[in-house]
Amino acid sequence: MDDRIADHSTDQSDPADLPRLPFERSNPLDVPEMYRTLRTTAGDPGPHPGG
Amino acid sequence: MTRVRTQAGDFAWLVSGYEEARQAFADPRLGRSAPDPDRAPRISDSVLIGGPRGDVETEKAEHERMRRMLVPAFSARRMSALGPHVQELVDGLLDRMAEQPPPVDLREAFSLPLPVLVICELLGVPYDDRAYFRKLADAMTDLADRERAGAAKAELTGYTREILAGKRANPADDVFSDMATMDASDDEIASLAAGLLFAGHETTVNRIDYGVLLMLSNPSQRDALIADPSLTDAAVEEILRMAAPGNHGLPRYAHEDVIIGGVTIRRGEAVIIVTMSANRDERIFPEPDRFDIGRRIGEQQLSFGYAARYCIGASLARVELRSVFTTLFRRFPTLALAVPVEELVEREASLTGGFTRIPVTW
Ligand code: HEM
Repeated sequence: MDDRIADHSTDQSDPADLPRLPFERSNPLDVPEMYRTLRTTAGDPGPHPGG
Repeated sequence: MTRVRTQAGDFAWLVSGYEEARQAFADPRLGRSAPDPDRAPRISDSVLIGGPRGDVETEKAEHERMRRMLVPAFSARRMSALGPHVQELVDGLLDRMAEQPPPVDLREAFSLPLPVLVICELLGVPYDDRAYFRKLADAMTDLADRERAGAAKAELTGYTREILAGKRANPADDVFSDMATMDASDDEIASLAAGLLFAGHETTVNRIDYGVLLMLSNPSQRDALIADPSLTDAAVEEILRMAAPGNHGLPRYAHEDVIIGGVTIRRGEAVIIVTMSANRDERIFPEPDRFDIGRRIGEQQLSFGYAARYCIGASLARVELRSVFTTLFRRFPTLALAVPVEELVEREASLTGGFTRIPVTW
């Protein structure tokens, strides 16, 4: 386990910077585009200080 | 795994990939209760999924006890034995629909009454009470009005308590009669029973509606299904994979530090598992946004969850959906939406989502 990765979870960056639920979708038969973006950056814990 | 802000503004980990979703579902250190409930991040104002539920000390034992009480009543064998009767109900509802002049609201005429009829018969709840408990079920899933949702939940539990008392006096061959004799408090049984009445229909109604819309938007798939009914099981799994009513995920709280997908989730933090995203993971389902009933995906999709909390009604829902999709388009080959799909109105304030009406012609 890479500690640098694990450490991201402990940061308490301002939640205002984070993506906010629910994600928008253009059509109820689709799923929000945001999920694809998140899946394809899997393992990346997202914005963090200095990010 | 991504950090997000919930609808309530708190911080949570979002699980969007397939393997991570399975890992999260299967990890016993993630539960519905939170170690420090008063400080736990809130997901939304919803009564049902808004925050932690239960107590970390007792959650596992209570959950296992609940499953021991309910799982036998909904076994795959018992559900397939119900198949012929479900088929009669499907045929009967479609006969009545055919007698009406189109356009007809498919939801009102078919997709809502079917699961309600089935769950009423199975549980032993009077179908004539449907307008009453449906109103309560609707109020319970109100995301905007927490007080209304809470009051509805309490009222539904009161209603099932009365029914259970009746079953004790006059037992019948139904699930509520079995439950009435279980070794548990009245409150516990009534609340479980109310949960079944609720879980047992809203979810299935929406999968029927979404399945119809997916088929109508992909006529080659509909034609393939009409031509070869042996594709039904695969079609139902593909519908379950793609149907995404209710834009919400399943919440969990870490009871201790857990590493999932390379990140550490600290004790007390919230995790939201998004099955609609996991079901479109391109690493598992190539071209995930394509509706293709020819996929060989078995029962891999995660719409019923996975592992310890795997949906108790999955076999029942599958029996209903298979019956619906072997019959509907053979009976109404020219079925079409009576309005453009963009004009369908989503039940936005509702947890289970779906559409208010599905006007169809044929
Ligand atoms: C297509 C229809 C349905 C879908 C998509 C669905 C989906 C789900 C999902 C995702 C879960 C897991 C929740 C979690 O992990 O937190 C679940 C649990 C459950 N479902 Fe369903 N469900 C459906 C139909 C039904 C029916 C018909 C019943 C009725 C008997 C039912 C009863 C339950 C119960 C009692 C649980 C709780 C299981 C537990 O916590 O161990 N569901 N369902």
